[in-house]
Amino acid sequence: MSYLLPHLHSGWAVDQAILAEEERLVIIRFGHDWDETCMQGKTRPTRPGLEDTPCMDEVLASVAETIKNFAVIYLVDITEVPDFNTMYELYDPSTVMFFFRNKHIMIDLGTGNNNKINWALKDKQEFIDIVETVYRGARKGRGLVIAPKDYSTKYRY
Amino acid sequence: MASLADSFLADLEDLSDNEAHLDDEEADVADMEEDADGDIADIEALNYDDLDSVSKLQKTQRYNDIMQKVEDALQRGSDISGHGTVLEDDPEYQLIVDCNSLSVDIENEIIIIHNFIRDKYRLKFPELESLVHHPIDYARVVKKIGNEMDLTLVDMEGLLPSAIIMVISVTASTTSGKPLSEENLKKTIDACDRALDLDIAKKKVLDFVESRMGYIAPNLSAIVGSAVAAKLMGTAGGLSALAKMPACNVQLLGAKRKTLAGFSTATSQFRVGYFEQAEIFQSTPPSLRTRACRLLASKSTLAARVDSTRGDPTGKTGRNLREEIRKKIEKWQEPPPAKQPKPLPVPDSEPKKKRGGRRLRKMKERYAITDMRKLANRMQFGVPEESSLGDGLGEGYGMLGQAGSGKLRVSIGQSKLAAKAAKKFKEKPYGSSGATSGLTSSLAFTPVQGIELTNPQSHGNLLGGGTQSTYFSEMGTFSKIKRP
Repeated sequence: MSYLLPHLHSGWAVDQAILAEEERLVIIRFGHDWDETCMQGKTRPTRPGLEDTPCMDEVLASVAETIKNFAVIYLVDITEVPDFNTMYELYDPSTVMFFFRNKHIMIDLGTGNNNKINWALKDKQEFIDIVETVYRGARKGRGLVIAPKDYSTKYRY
Repeated sequence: MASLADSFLADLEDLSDNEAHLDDEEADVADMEEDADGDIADIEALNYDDLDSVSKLQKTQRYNDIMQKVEDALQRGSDISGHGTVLEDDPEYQLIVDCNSLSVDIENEIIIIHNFIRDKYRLKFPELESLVHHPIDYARVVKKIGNEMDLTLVDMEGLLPSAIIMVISVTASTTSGKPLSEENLKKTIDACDRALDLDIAKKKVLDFVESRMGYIAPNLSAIVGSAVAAKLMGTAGGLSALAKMPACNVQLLGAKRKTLAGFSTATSQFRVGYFEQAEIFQSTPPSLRTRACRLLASKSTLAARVDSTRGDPTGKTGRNLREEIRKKIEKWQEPPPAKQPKPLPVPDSEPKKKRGGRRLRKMKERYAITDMRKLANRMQFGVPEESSLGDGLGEGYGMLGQAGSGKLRVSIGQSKLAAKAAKKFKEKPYGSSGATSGLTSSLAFTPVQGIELTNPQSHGNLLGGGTQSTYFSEMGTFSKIKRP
């Protein structure tokens, strides 16, 4: 799944990618591309905490074509590009951050951390909704947007 | 009394006068009938007992000649050698043209005989003619039943569909007919035999035409096959007649009009005639059959027109048309193109289509802020507002019901649209056109003085329609300080 999305292999590439886009939202996923797919991850034993990334990648890849008019998605491997690990506090298996016109956009998801989405969103439509809300708010000049769904109870199923 | 009797007598005379008139009229009618007899001799002839005066075709020389030739030709087998390009001179072609007109004549003859049989058999079994429509089937059934009164002894298997046989048996048990006399019966059976003979002759003619079809009309037979082509030509009355017909008529040649009793109409093909037997038609799926029939009819008409002028004796045009038809039918059966996943449009790039107009304004009026709410939203300077729970708790009432305004109730006030309408009415001499509702009363309850009489209109426009400021109004307590 991760082979469908463009990868960025250096800190400079990440910067360039964020600067280059003027009209569209830039979505960057910081994490690892492992071989396991989301489906297989259920049957094969995976390392704890690492099954998030392939799931998120699958969602991102399937959504990329649909939202390509207003958002572009890049993947960054944090072992390959460790430059941002401390700056953005990238300690989770998968982290998704949003940038618009060289500005980082915060989202109020209810989890307490407004800077990023640090778990795997399973639902494509939810993700599209979040991206659209971020895009609308960013275009208006807002630095913080409120997500349509509240994720404060994310860990309680 | 005498006058009454006289009047009765007079009446009697009148009656006799009437009778005299009636007699005259009857005489006139009789005359008319005699005249009519001469004119409608043909129809009268059906009542004659003599079949031969009705059905003369089989006695004619022409009929016998042609039948003889047809028999010979059928014996000889198909003889398609180069007859030269000029078709009209060929004796076989002439024979075929004759056959076509003959088949039309035979058909008319069969109808006449059918009428004859029907009239005779009406005395025996009147309902049969409405149950069995086809003349040949009718003749067969009549022959089978004969003079029998009990239809359970008659075996009609193979002649008719079982449903019809059942209906006939049931109807026969309650029929009002009586058995025919021996002579009548013999004549009826004769007529039936003759009808069946004619039917066989017609079949022979059609077979002959069919065998020669590839030679007469190669293009038409290339599309629909020689059997259907022969039938079409036979019914139309010749190739040139067929070519002159518009395609919509060609489509209906040979269409059965009535669905028979007891059969469901759900399966009956609508507007399909001989084309139903064509191979192309049989091989199309049922949902496309109507379209295919229309296409077939139009292309066959084109082919018939080519044939009637001998434009293409090889039949190539026909084969091309057949290919065209086949390709078109295949194209209809293609699945629709797969759906492409479309990316979402950029949010907020397409501005919402805002509507306007009278309808929208009226709709918005329903949710607009009322004057009462406006009054409640504002407060007078220096005057504490009343609230629903008293003492500043609960919802505040603002300027609603304050001293000086004099009223707890605020009249509705005119909406903007109603104002426009009211303006129109103003010009007409209808009298006062005030917008006060009929529910406003002149009585008002004030906290200070109790009940007071006020002019309801003056407080309806307390806010001045939202255009005048109420801070400096005459009625407000800011500019007028009341002294006790």
